Amino acid sequence: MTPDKSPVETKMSADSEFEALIMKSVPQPRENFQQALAQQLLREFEQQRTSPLRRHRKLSIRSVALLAVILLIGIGSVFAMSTILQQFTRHDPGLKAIYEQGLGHEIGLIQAIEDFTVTLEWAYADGNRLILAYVIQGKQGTQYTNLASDVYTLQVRESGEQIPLYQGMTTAIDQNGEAIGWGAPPSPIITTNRTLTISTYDLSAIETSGKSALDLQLEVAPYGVTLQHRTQMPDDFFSLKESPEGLFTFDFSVDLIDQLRVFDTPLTATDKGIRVILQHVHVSPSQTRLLVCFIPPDPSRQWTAIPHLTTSRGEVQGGGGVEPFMDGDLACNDYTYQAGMYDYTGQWRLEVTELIGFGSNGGNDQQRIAGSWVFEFVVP
Amino acid sequence: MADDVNHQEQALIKRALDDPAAFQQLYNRYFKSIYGYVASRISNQHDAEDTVSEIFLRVIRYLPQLRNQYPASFAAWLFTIARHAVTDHYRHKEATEVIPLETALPDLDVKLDPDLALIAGEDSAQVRQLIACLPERKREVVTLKYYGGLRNQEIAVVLQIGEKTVAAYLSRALAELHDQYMNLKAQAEQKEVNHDSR
Repeated sequence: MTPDKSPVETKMSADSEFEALIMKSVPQPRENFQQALAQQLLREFEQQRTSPLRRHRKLSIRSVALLAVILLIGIGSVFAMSTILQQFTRHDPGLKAIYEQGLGHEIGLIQAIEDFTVTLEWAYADGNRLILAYVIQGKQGTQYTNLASDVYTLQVRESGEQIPLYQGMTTAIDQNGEAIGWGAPPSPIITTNRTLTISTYDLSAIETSGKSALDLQLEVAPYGVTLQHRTQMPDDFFSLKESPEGLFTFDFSVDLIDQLRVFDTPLTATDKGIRVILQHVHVSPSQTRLLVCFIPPDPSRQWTAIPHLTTSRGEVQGGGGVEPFMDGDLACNDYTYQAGMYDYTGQWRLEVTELIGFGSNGGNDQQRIAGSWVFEFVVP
Repeated sequence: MADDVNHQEQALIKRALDDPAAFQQLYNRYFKSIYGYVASRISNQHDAEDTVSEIFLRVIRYLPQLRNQYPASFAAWLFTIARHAVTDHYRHKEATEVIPLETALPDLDVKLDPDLALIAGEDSAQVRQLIACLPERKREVVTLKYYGGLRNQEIAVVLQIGEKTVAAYLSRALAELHDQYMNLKAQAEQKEVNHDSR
């Protein structure tokens, strides 16, 4: 005789049955696709492994000669670079603040593989944020609609720790070294032979205390594509893709600006029966971050709090990015303001005016709770 | 035991750097889970196949990086490449000259259609449709877990979030999926009863 299952066992059994059902629902490839792709990959494998570039990625004599020429061009491009960075600061007040203070520094490392060149131009790092600017140049004479990188891995050289990418922007550069594309109408298609990418990494994700500089490694895998129209299908995209063999790897160091103001005494405010906690505020020269958490009124929804941050200089405009995540039972929102507020002294005020819980049935499935959760504090 | 498996896989990866047969073994080991993950994120079969192809091409290209430094988990390394390739797929659909990455992350516009799911009359199709309707982060966690076969620790590496957060997303996503699945079943049964009584 089989003993009756306890309620817990019954639930576990139902859960694992449902999990089995999910696993069974995995999409299946069409017949022969696995085999056909294997053949294609093996051809590619053989080709790559016998390629001299793959076997000896270090620079050849010819490449060294090319590098010397490019270095000369590179000196010119550094000057143009400041103009482009300056144009970009319009879109990023935090970058503007550090740029105007002369923080951050030029790197000027150049690598060429086949006919592609990547120049790591400029870098900046503080306790919140690391910013890199690099230029990708495609084959001479080729105009691309897409010229960017598939890979943007940044890691600490010694530990191999990866620094997560937070945000990236790429813009085309015209023949006069001016950035084009920002705010441009969708047509006609803009083509270019050179692009600038400005990437922001989340430096708060790794331990940096006690360091005055970071030894880093950046990997970039550029590619170029020339599409005939904006909505060209991806299969064409892949077949049109040009990319040099091998990764561009840059070993470099960046000074770590040690200016970081920290307020980390948790403050609580309660309204509508919901307790909201301001966990901490971190202010660096390029970025301000606030962490707000609360017990979600309905845990099945993903919750976001709507913040309004005011300092002695008025309300901070533009809000910022928000990364919602769960910390145990707490729904947390990590707010990021790309703003130069390091010298904003006096009292600050954060008011959360609404909590919004997004359900699983798309954007209209929302539970909204208006209220006023107010925190007043001074960042030391 | 897990260490043994890991050592065997490390040895296989080491051989796969230069030996096509070892590479094929690695490919066969991961093909289905990669395909399942990609096809759950990209509904067009042709696009999904192209993306799977792109992923393994990138693996060939990046494998030599592992010669001196083996990742904590090969599966996590592989699925990070896969996730980037899926993101690139959506980015390239829209992008030309300006690419703000934060707005380029894939957000499938899939709406749950109970009638369609019921007409399909197949549990797997219904479950796939329910998964496609989950919010982005939950969908990623579920597909990496059940289609990709990754452990929570590996999912945390791929998504760059905490392991506890993965567990929380997973448990909520499962509860949501289960509730919605039971609702669909109940609706289907009710339709049958109504049909029979006519």
